[in-house]
Order: sequence, then C-alpha cells, then structure tokens
Amino acid sequence: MIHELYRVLNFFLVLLISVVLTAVQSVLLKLPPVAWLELDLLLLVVVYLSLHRGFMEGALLIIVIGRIAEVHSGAPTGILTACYLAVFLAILFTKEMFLVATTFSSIILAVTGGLIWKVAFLVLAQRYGILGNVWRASLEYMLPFQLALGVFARPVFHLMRTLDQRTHVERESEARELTGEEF
Amino acid sequence: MWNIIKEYRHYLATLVLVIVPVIALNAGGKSPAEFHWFDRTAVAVSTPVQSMIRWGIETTWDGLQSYVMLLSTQSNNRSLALENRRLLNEIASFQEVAKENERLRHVVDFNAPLEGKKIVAQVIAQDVNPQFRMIRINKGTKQGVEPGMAVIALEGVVGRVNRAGNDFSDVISLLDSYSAIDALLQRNRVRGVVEGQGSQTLSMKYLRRTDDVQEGDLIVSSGIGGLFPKGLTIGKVTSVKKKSFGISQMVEVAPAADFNRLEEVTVIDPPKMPLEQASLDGEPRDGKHKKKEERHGTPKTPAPPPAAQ
Repeated sequence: MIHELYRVLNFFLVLLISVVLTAVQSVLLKLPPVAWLELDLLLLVVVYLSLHRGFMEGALLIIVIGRIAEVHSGAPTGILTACYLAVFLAILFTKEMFLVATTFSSIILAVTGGLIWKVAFLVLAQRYGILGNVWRASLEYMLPFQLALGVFARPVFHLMRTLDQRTHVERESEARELTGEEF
Repeated sequence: MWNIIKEYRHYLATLVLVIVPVIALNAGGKSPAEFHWFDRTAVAVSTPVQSMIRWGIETTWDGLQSYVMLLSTQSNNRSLALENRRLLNEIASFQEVAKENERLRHVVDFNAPLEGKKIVAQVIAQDVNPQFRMIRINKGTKQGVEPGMAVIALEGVVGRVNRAGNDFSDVISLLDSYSAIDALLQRNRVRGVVEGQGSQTLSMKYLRRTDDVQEGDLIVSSGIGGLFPKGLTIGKVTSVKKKSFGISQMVEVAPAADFNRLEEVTVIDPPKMPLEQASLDGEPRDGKHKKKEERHGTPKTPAPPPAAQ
C-alpha cells in the first residue's frame, strides 16, 4: 500500500517538477545572455523517463508533460507531445541495445534525444505547413541546442534520480532493468 | 481475439501513441483560444514561479543598476538633459503638425480608427519552445483582455492575444511562424505581408520584383485586416535579395520591438473595420487559408497588387 502511494506521489512530483522547469525555461532561460542556447529542460525529463519508466507509465507521463509544454507555448496542439513521444519511443525501443551506465553515455543519449526531437519536429512542421518558415530557425541553433542539452543533462538527471530515490521508484526501475521486464 | 490483442498490446499501444497526437494536430490546429481545467491547473502552478523568477531577475538587475553602475550616472544625466531639450523642441513642432492634421481630418471627415480601450500589461514569460514565439502577459479577462486584441509596445507592433486566462494572456508575437500582418513601406506606400520566421527576424512577402525596396526602409501596419491601426511601426528592412529568376523579391525585416527585452506592452481593442476594407481582405480563400484565419486571426494571404496610395 505504501509502495503504491509512493508511486502515485512520484507521478505527481514528476509533473510538478516539469511545471517548475517549464517556468524556469520560459523566464530564466529566455534572458538575452542564455536565450540563444534554446535549451529544452522538458526534453531532458523525457529522456530520463524513457530510460527509467515502463511503457505505460512513461507514455502517460510524457503525454501530460507534452500538454504542459503546449500550455506554455504557442505551438499547435499536439505537435510538442508528438515530438516528445517520438523521443520516448525511439529511446524505449533502442535502449536495450546500449549500455547506459555512465554519465557520459547519458549525455550522449540526451544529445541523441535532441536530434530525434528536431527531426520529429521538422517532419511535423512539414505536415502542418509551417516548415517553410521554421526550418531555418530550427536548424540555425541546432549546435547550441545540442550542446546545452549535453551540459544540462547531468543536473536534470540528478534531480530526477534524487526524486526517484526519495520515493523508492529507483530501486524498482533497476530491478525491472535487470529482469528485463521493461516493455 | 482477446489473445491477439493481448499479444500485440505493446504494438497497438505504440500505434495509439503515434496516432493520437496526429489526430490532435489535425483537429486542434493552433492552440485553442480557451484554457481547460488541466491547462488552468498547470498555469496556476507555473505563473507564480514565473512571476517570482521575473521579480528576482528585475530586483537583481535594478540593484546592480542602482549601486554598481552609479559611476556613469553623471554623464548619462548630462546627455539625457541634452536629449530632453532636443525632444521638447521636436514635440513643439509635432504639436503644430498634430493640430494641422486634426483640422484637416475635420475637413475631410476622417474617422480615426485608433479609439478603444487600452490595457497596460507586463510581460512575465516567453514561449517554452524556441520554434514558437508566444509571450505571456500578466493581464487577463478580469482586466478586460480578450482573444483577438492587438498588442503593441512603445517601439511598435508586438502581436495579438491568442488566448486569455483570468489573470494572464498568451500573445502570439510577430516573430511567430504563424504570424502575418499586412504592411506598407512608409517611404513609397508599397504593400506586402510581414511574416514571422520563428527566429529574431521577419520577412516581407508578396512584393513585386519591380517594387522599390531599400535597406533601412521603415515598415508600418497598413490597417487592413482591422486588427492593428494603420501606421504602427513594424520594423526596418535589413536586407533585400533578388534572385535572377522569379517575380518577387526576398525582404528581411528587423522588428522594431526588441522581443528579448520586452517588459511592458499595451493591449488595444481591434479598431472597427470599415466595410470597404473588410471586403478587401475578404477575398476568396481555399479551405486551408480559411482554417488558418479562424485559428490565428491574421490570415496569411497574399496581398493584392499594391495600389498607388
């Protein structure tokens, strides 16, 4: 019973952290000295959840996180959720092929997640008829975007891991990885 | 049947995950004009955090300016006094022009479209996604802000209210890739459409190759479409590119408002559009354009050939 309560608590705390990170991203990271980085903290949360959550829980969390991002954005409904889900599915399906054990490998994975996000976004932008306007802006800052993801991956992953440890979700996710129960 | 579903449940779930957002994209289009309960909850949590961070930044910056940067105050004061004197002279001459203008308006019975309520608001946050350029302001329906209202700053046009909550509103800025505004070159009244690129620059489209456009030309709103009053500054031409083929030219525009440092804006009621202007903008469109117009208010339609004005 306690375990289920922790699980539910963890679910809502992840969402709360996402909302706070969204607020930070929309104010602090939009200041002129750092705005050019175009950092997406929610994408890092999505990458972390893809690694440490099962299919159903992860998907549900990411759909809600996608909606949180859309509420704080002028993006068309569904486009950010779809991009985050693309990252989630890509990492979920391929993570068994890679050993994600060190900080460096997590950073590489975050940067790869950023790449998948961009590709998914450009495909959807094309589908939605705005590619002509956004492709240049989207690709122009690709390098700083990827670089910022790599730099900020560690603190965000650390924050998420701490949350998981406090709510005893980390132990469970490790066990699932060992037994191969993940998806 | 159940066994098949059970066996392939993960693939089915994946399919659903891919299909749902695509359906949402088709059905929803641009962000809906109203907030649902979940949206309101998320914003209720994030807005205080955003305001707090904003307050922290402003307090720190003000502190720095007040104490650390006092060294340059005296020289700044002197140059400001000089500029003040120059501006006072200019105001005096403008007042004369304004009076003359007023008299002439009376003579030709011109109805000024600039009337309406004005609400001053503070920018509290920007778009969470760099590809879109929404800004959030701290005034909402409680203060009289409604979707569709125009937003301007001292420097010029900012954008349009997309959706409004109780105490905040989301403004689709000029820079957003969904933004389009009918515009004029101030120097020679050539007409075109200024569109957002999702970056820090705008582009002016539907200009003929033969139109005289030069770097540094000022671009103002044409007033067509009824959203922005005529004559508001949009930006300045920064580059003009003509390819060796085609009938148009590529014009890049730097917006007059500095969107990175935008702090205060004014929300204004869209002026009532005269019937003749409405019919100008109401040319037949295909379904796609109509859909865009419904979602964003300012349609991205090619401007009719520029008329001599």
